[in-house]
Amino acid sequence: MASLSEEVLLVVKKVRQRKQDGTLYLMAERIAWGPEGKDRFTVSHLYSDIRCQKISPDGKAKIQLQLVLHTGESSTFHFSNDSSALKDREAAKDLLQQLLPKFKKKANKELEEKNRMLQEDPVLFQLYKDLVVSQVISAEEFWANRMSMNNTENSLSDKKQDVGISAAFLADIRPQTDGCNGLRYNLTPDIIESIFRTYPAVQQKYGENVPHNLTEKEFWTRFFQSHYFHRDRISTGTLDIFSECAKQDEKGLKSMVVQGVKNPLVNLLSLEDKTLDEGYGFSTAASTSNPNRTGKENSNSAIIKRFNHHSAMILAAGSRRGDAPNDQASETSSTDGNSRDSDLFQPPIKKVKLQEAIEYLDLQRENGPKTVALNLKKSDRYAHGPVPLESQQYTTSQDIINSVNCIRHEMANYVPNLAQVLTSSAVSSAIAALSPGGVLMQTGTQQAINQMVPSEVQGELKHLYTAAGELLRHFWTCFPVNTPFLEEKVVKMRSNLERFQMTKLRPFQDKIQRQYLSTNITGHLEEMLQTAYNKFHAWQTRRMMRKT
Amino acid sequence: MLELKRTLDAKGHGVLEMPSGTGKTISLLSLIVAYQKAHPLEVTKLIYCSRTVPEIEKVVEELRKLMEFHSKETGEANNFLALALSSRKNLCIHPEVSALRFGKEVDGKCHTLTASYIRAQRHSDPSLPSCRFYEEFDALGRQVPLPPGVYNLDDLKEFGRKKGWCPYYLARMTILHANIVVYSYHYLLDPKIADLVSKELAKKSVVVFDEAHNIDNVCIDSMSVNITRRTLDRCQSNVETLQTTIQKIKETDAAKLKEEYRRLVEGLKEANVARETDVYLGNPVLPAEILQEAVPGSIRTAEHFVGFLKRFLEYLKSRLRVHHVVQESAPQFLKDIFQKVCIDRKPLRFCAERLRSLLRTLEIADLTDFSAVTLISNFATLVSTYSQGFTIIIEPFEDRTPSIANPVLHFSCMDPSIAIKPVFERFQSVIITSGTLSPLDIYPKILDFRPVTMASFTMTLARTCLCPLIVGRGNDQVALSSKFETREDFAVIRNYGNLLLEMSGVVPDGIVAFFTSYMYMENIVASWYEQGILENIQRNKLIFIETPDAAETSMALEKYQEACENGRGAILLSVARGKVSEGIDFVHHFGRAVIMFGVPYVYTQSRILKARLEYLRDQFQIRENDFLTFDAMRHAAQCVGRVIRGKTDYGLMIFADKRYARADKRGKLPRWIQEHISDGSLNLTVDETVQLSKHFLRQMAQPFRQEDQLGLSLLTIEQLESEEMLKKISQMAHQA
Repeated sequence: MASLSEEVLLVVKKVRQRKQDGTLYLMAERIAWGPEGKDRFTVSHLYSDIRCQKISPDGKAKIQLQLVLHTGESSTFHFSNDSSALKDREAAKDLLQQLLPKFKKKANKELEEKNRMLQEDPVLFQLYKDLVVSQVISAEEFWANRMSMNNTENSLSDKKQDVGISAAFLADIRPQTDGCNGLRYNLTPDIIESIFRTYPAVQQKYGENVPHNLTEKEFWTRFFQSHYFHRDRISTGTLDIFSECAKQDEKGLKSMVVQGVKNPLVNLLSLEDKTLDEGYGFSTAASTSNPNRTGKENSNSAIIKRFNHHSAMILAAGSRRGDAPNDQASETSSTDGNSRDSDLFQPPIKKVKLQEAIEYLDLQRENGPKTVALNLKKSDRYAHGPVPLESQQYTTSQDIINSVNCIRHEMANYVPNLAQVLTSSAVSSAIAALSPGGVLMQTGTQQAINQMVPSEVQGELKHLYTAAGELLRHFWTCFPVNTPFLEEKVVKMRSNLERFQMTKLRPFQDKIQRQYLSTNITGHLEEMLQTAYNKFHAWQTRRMMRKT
Repeated sequence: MLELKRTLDAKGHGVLEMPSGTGKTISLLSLIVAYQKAHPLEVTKLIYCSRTVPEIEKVVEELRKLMEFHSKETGEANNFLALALSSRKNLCIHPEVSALRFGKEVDGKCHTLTASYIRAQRHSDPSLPSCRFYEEFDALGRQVPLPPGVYNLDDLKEFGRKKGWCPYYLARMTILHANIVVYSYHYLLDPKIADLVSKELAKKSVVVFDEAHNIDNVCIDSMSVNITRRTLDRCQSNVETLQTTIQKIKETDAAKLKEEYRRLVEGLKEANVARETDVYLGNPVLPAEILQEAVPGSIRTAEHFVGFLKRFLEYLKSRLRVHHVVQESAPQFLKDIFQKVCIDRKPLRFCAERLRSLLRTLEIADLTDFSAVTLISNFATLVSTYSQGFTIIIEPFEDRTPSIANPVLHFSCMDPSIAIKPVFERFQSVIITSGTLSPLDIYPKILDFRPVTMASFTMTLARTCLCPLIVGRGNDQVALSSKFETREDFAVIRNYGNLLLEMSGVVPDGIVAFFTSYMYMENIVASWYEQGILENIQRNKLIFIETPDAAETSMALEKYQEACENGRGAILLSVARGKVSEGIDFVHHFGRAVIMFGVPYVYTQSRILKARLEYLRDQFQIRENDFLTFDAMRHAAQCVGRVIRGKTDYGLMIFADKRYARADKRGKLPRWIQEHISDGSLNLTVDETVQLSKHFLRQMAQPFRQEDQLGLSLLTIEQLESEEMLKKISQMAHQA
């Protein structure tokens, strides 16, 4: 029994289905029900097939659970254990509630992905219609190959999109008074993750202290007690483990400030062209540089700083994973070229920004046809292309000079040997024979296919080609046949090919014949199929020989 | 265009208000350039002054486009020479010097490498460091003019690198014969710099001051001096250094001092012929007659002059020792100084010039150290030159901290026309323009000139893309206002918070909020934090806040833009009159709404302001309140104007103060904002505002294509040339 290898999460006895008593099993990936006394399941649904579950209202006599599938079918389970029916049902329901979303996402995502691919790629869609809808191959077969290919292709873009952090996540941690002079904070894993992502310093502390120094609970208690959390309080002592975090944050903020901004249009430092010398001017900036600010004002400016920092960190956390490689690249380039970067890196950004600033969208004539961005995984490959392996023999410059001299010498002494050339009449006849319409060019004067064949036939032919290509690809990927699965598949693919030839190609050929077009336009298709058959035949005879 | 042409024809001055983003720069440039081409003898040069470096660069880029268009349409090669000029910091290509962070350091370092006596010394001692770019420029670059073209700062640098010439001095030399010069206000308005840079510019020039709504403050700033105890201390040590240097030189090279003495007897004319690198120190408005006279005998020798400086310094110190606030005029000050330490007016006037000469003679390389003594001598010259338009205020402590002694001597200019007068007198046309110049008539008054044209333009819009709303009440009917009496009122603060919170839920992308002052913002942010309003706002958007530190604010700004860019949306809390409100544009999604919390009045208790108001009242018959309101409203308009940068842009403008509804305030907003304020949106509650905003934003979010604008706010060439249009235009011309 297959279920033996599966993990059974819940077993509920005395569940009726279609008036039969039986047992309900909730397993890791499916839900199954078997009638009493038998060791096989009559009902089995993968979780991913289930759309939703419904339960009977509380007051009802029958305690039931209904599963509705994506296909629209449903199966109903009646919990008939007198004493614990409700409890059983609740247990099953709760478990399903936990399990279903997981699978739902997966199923939906797959479906969505497939849908998207079909919509985006008309060729694929046609192929799908030709092969799957006409039941040449099954949908699974069709996708089996596609999806895996696709996964490797867009492994980058396919990655789950990171969800940013809510700016107010700290506000969501609402402390509740527990009635006796205490506060309760509710932390969810999401919030903890948000804290860690926004404040890496806290994560570091967590790693250092939990669990060897503090329990998790103690850690968070201290976190909330610390003035790090309540930044408007001025730090009082250095005993707190989070004071270091605060210092680190300060440092981070400073370094961000020192790094400066890339966009010169928002750089307030370089905005003024000529600053007034110290001492000139209408008003002195005395109030800001004043050391004797009151505590209240100090804490106010601390709040402002904190908000700036907080927002910056949240932004950074959101974009950190997305473009980590990019970031690194820019960072390294800016660190090693630190002193000169103002000269080397600024102009392009500046140019672009300036252009942006002086351009008016409504005055532009037309912004060209929309182009599809080139998505390159390895841009260097695109830029350079494969380079033929060069021979390792290098000629020295002396050699080159020598050979040039040699050639020059030859050229200087060149005398055309006019005695041995063809006669002019022979030449002209040869040229005539080789020009279009001549004797030798008769086979080559094939009129372009698009003039001979009506366009709908052409279209059909194109579809046939893609379909055949797809099938043949499937076929050829089976070789070398080294697993029983592949063996099976190759046989199946051959029959697919035959079926394709019968259901698609033949009617097409007949049609062409009816229209008195030259039949050899399908010649190449048949040739390809024939090659496949030959290969299959050769493989089969070899296998037979091996077997006997 | 029409008004501008008229101004140019009349060779007079003009004041033009044009909404931002409607092609102000390009229309000014194109007309003046065309005029220059048509009448090359009448207008020889265009001097375009803007405020910030990015704006200067933008102007040059637009000019480049224009020139390309010209040569494409006419088929002629462009023979115009246009360039941008900026400080050394933005133009230096010396690898070590340009790496310095602050403009002052760059200037100082440059001076130590390129001053003429240093270069003379190098002849005898080649081991001294030099700037090869300057040397190269000096040897080769002076004879070869820059080829025609449009040169932005980066282009100049590029050119300099290619040739190995110093771009800064190249640009300085080139502006004298360039057709178009784009640079900062200060090069014309600050007498200390203007004297060096813009002295020899042709009289037949057209000067444009773009973004000129603050031009009076720039003028005043450049003429005002503040002296603190720290300045005096540093000055003291400066003077001591001078003294020891003089002693040293006397022992080694007495001839040099004698030579200087001889020169001073001859007069100050040589100030004119001083080579350009030496003219590092400027001199505030030297009246022409001084240059004809000789330096008075009492300060002619170096020791006497140092002694004189010491006496003056001691006098200033004694003045700073007061315990109560003193306010006096320049003549009073001069009288007092004569009575107490027997310093006459005449030597004081020559103080700046004398110091300059001395510093040059002593061959002091790094002049940045001597900023304090320079400041004092400039003060001396100014105070003795102008008997009117200035006031001296000595405050022994700050108002907020009366217990801490921090005496400051403010020598403040109250008449912006003093600094700008030479500009108006010298150049044939001066155009003052900005997006927000309302009310127009006040500028000619305070700058003391007579314009030929004054005009305020509005925008032709295919859709009403700006939505000014005046919020006067909270949902609980509490009147919203930032006026002093209700400033600490929790109900007002809470309602302001509610407004921001509600808007953060409605407006997409970026919101910019302006407060009236930094202190006020700090307090409000703190109490919002305590009330948990900020946390709720954070659910909708990220919050960034301007700080007094420019670097930190820059970072916050960049992050703000990043957050708007990636769709998270953000709020920037900022301060009117701050750096952000002056120089940063919030185009498109960077600012979909701007909220002005309160009316940004200046701090009216300041004595300098009071003195200035008094002066305005006495001299120009401008009532105090009128000026204050004008000043507040121009800043408010500046702030809200930051979000609309063109016809395709759209944005909400929320004035959260009931005082905006009053006619005297509303009437001072620019016309292009005023005409969109309906009577229905004068005294809204927060809820009503949210409803109106939702409606507006929903409308604006509809796709807006080029076709929608055609014929209304955008004309094709066919439409423009159609008879109907031409008729309309000529009609308009006749009317005007």
